[in-house]
Amino acid sequence: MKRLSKYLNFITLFVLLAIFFASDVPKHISTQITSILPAGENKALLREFEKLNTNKQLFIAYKGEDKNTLNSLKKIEKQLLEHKNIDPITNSIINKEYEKKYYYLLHKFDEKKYDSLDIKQELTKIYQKIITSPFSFSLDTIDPLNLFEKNTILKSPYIKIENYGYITFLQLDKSVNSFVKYKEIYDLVQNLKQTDAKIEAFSTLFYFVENQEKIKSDVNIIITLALSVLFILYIVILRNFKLLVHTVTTLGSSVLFALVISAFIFDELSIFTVVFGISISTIAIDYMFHNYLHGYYEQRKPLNKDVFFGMSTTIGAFFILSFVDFSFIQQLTIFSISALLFSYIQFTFLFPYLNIKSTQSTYITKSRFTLKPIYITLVSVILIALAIPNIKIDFNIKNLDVDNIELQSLDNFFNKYINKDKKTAVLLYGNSIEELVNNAHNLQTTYPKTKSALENIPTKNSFEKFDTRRFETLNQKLNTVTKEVGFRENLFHESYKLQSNLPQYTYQELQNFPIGKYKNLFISYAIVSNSDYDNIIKEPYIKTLSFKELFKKDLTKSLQSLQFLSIIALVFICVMLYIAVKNRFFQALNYILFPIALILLVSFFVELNILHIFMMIVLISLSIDYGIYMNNSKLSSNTQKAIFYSLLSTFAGFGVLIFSSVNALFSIGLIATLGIVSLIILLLTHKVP
Amino acid sequence: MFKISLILLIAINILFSKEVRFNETKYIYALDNKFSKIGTLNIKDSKVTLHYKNSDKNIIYTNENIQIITQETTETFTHEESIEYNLFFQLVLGVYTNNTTLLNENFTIKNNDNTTTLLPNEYLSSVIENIEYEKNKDKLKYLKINFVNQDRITIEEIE
Repeated sequence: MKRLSKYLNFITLFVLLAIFFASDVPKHISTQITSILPAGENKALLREFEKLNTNKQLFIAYKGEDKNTLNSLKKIEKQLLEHKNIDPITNSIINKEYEKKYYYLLHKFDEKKYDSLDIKQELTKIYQKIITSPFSFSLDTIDPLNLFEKNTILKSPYIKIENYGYITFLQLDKSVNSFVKYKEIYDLVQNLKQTDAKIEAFSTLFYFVENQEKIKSDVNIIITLALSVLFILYIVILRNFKLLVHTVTTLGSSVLFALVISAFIFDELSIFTVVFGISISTIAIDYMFHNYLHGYYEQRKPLNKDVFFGMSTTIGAFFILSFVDFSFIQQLTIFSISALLFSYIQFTFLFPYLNIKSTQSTYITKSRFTLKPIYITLVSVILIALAIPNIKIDFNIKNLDVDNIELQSLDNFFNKYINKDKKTAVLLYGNSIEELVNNAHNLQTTYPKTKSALENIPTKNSFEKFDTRRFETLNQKLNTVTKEVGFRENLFHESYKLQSNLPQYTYQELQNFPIGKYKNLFISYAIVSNSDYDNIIKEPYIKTLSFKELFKKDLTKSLQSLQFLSIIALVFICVMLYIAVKNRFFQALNYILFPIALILLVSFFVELNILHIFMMIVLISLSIDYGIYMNNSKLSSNTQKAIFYSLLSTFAGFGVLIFSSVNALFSIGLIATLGIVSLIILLLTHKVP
Repeated sequence: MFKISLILLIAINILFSKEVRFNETKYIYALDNKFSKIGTLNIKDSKVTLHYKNSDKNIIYTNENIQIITQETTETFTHEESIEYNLFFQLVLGVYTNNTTLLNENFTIKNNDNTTTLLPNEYLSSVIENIEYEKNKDKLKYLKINFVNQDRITIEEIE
């Protein structure tokens, strides 16, 4: 049994590793920023829109002003078009047969031209055009007299940019809706770019690919940095390699355990949860240090009550916060509770059997400078009072994402030449497909700059209003002069005859159109001009697809529960604190007030985001542990040492995130570093017997 | 030395310029009628001049632009502005100079015995069905353009 307990730590790690891979946990980890949005209607609609969105474009530019520039661009275009999911922009999503069938209902009729129409004269003009055309004249037999508005058949897809070169754009088909597909297109374009430096390319989906790469590389650097700090702590300061191996094994197991539990509970686990969760798991080192430095491993003393109180307070606070109605916070709290509880059990019940010897380090000496606690309380209260009026919350979730300047400048470059009028997508909905189609038409009529694929489905109203008799007369008149002018007999036999029945508003009939369903609603989308956006969003059948606005709405909802539950967590912490330290309660309270005061200084410089707030709560949960340890009647220099070491470990876990270029991770790192600095100040100014 | 070089240059220029007379027959489905005309193509490097008999128009294609010159006016268009002429000249240049790179820009080339078929890219496929031509050494036996709207243009070189 003794021998088994020696290896139990490693056995546990391998068992958890096996479960981790067997239950496909990595598949649950999502790098998309939407994964931190709360589950609900807005998130579901955003995902539905992603599935429907056929509006993804790929812009290609070729730099050069010589005669071969356009040819080079065409060659690149040809290579790209060989990919099965890339189509020319002319290839409309609308079925040509469908458009032909309902042509007269879908195109605007020119009443003015009709009123002053001389059919023979018009046909003669067309005849002349045909015989003088250098190539072939595309005569439209559906509407030979051009009475309906139509699009030009041959229009160059190449735009010449003065002093630059040429631009063209391609369309990505509906099936390009997953990260794997995004990466495939991205890699194809990057390979082409490598062959010729004159190529520039952009698509909004590049943000997903590049940002994920940036997050991954940042995470790798941070993990290396964190391990280096831990290595210095154990090998250089503590000089205990065995302790390092067992501690890293336990922490590794705790992360695997937390991942397995979280993946079991949540279908989708944000990468931020994983990174942040791994950092939180390192807090558990604190339990190990207190046990280790107070001789609990060598002498196998009974349960360390201080550590138990500290752990219960932290886990209790996380448990309360897990009720916040916000997916990311729920994921994170569940992850943290699992990891911390697992580590606590191992550090408390397994480590005494691992035969770990204490090696005393001489790096920490007692500080000679002490401060009366009342001064710290006073400074903290003043700083908090000054900071509170400055607090502003930043709701823009995009600010948490990677700041991809290079891609943003490419985005602006192409927008400047192609999308001169800035546009935004909005969600259209209706209780039936027919209502949805009517809504799309109403929107287009009220705001003519709007584009929606559903404009190409005729409304029941347009069908009923179609003046069949008038067009029958037109057809007869046209056919009487056809031969006389010189055209083939019966060429216009079918012109201006509506040959279809009332459109069927079913999925089957309209399968080529972007129509989706969410619960009882039928949904689609429209691309609207930014100048109309504010008014359009007020229409009863429109919902915003702006990530910023959706997040703000959900966050505002969650903030109320977060505030309420934070107060409950604070009361819980205070109660635990009082039970633990009794008459030194206010002195211990400094360990909450001072870190808060220092952290809130951030509000003088930047707006606080959700991660700043959440990290602050985590730090309060941590600092209360130290408040308990440092105000215990059995306080010794070992306690101070243990706290110092665990603060160093916490820096390895959280603080190093300050070096990240991802705003979300940087926010966490900044608050963690400020918190750690404030705790070190408290530690060094605390009078130790 | 300078004079010799100049004479040599002019000689090379004349040697490499090519004048082709052809008969163009256009069948227009909408009119159910055929129209024929005789034209001349002058190909010099990448400059092509097109002229039809009994017309006062000269159409000049260069790498930079397309010019339509009459006795009174000269109109200049970019290649993108005059898509139809641009396509026609690219086709003629590609076929006459055996420039497959140029043809490959808009078509996929398929060779069957003596005939060559050009299948249009997706962008052109809404207008052109296919193009077929046959050459006997440098001489074009025929070039047939079949359009989606059932029109046909046949070009045959004449002695």
